[in-house]
Amino acid sequence: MHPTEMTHPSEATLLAVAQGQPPVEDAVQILTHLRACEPCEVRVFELIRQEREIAALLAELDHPMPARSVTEIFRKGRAREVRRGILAAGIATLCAVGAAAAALPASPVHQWIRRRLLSPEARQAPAPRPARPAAAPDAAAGISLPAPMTLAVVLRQPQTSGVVDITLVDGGEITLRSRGGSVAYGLETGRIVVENRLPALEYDVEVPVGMERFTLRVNDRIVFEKDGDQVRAARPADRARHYRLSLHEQTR
Amino acid sequence: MTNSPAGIVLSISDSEALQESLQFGGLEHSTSSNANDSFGAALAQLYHERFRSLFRYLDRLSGDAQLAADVAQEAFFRLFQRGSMPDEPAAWLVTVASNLLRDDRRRVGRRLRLLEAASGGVPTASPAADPAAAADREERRALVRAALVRLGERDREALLLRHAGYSYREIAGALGLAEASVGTILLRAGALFRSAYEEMHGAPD
Repeated sequence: MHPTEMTHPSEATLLAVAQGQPPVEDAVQILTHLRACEPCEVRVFELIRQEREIAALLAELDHPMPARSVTEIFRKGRAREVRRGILAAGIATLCAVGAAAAALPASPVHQWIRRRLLSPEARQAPAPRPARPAAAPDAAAGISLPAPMTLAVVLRQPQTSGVVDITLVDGGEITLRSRGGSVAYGLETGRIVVENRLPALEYDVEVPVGMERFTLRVNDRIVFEKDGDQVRAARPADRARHYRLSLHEQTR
Repeated sequence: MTNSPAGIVLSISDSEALQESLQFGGLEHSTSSNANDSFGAALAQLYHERFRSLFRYLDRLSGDAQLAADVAQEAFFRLFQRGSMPDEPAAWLVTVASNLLRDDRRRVGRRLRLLEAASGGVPTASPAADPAAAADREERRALVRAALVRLGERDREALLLRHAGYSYREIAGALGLAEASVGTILLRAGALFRSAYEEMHGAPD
């Protein structure tokens, strides 16, 4: 077949040839055509020249390449793996510590879970916050909450021993802590109930001066009572605003 | 140390890089060490073959060599994290790098505009040895960049990819095109680019 009778390749195909990217399936046919068709051959050379011009213009944009290394990629990958490992180990440690703390009956975490999740009374009461630890050497557990106008603290079981330190404070929170034994706290309407089946040896109570009425009872006995500015206790204050009372004493 | 083409600096020899790639490949995927050893080796090989072209494309596209190198490096790191080779690794790298570049532009675009406004639009280039030559070069760059801006995004990317050494097949993969349409796009992009440049400057020398 004479070249003039052949279908000429498209401009895009001639460009592909000029760029060394002819379609593989048609490569032989196209090159055969170019050898026989002078106009197409001339056009390919023209496209090659134009491509060189474009390449030279684009090269004006080039900057020197900053130094980079393939080893940076592998090092970065390793560093990320190490960080992930440390994070996973940290999370596992925290989980283990938390689980152990929750399993120990005397731990504040255990008691908090009992109060918050297991006690039916607590579900209806405002959420108590753990009190700040006292300065005593042995562990203290307790609760602290915004003081209502009237509140009673009731130790459910009689105490055969133990003391309570009651301090009148200026703040707005009432705080109750215990040391020794194992007690749990529950909130009911107008009162804090202390489950003292394994009674604590010492209790600390901080009572805001601004509370209208506060009562501390052991079982059905009143140990301390504040009514406005009046305080009734078995013993007078041993220092300013501080009462140290035996738990089997009563005011009346 | 291996002396590679200008710009590529290898801090260790190829064999050491390969050893390191095998080591870290094993660390990343300890359950299939042979496959990952070969992946690490393939990645190192691909890096040496294609990092330069990826950088060249990104440098011309962004006009920021440091950013281009960082983005190219990050694209290879994403491939390392992927843990296996895609069907078209070069196209995959371009797609990832282009997305990273777009994200970066979106993030810093506002800050750059504020900086340009604050500096009165004066480019902050380092002083050149020959100020006149530097000014000529900067003018040519500005014309080339202005001509590129006249192209549509896809035409511009196709043209820059082709002139960074990417094949029609890789361009199609990177830009989501049919391979058969790449030639047509390149023909149009080249013609538009040349005419835009000539319109602003006259025919190229």
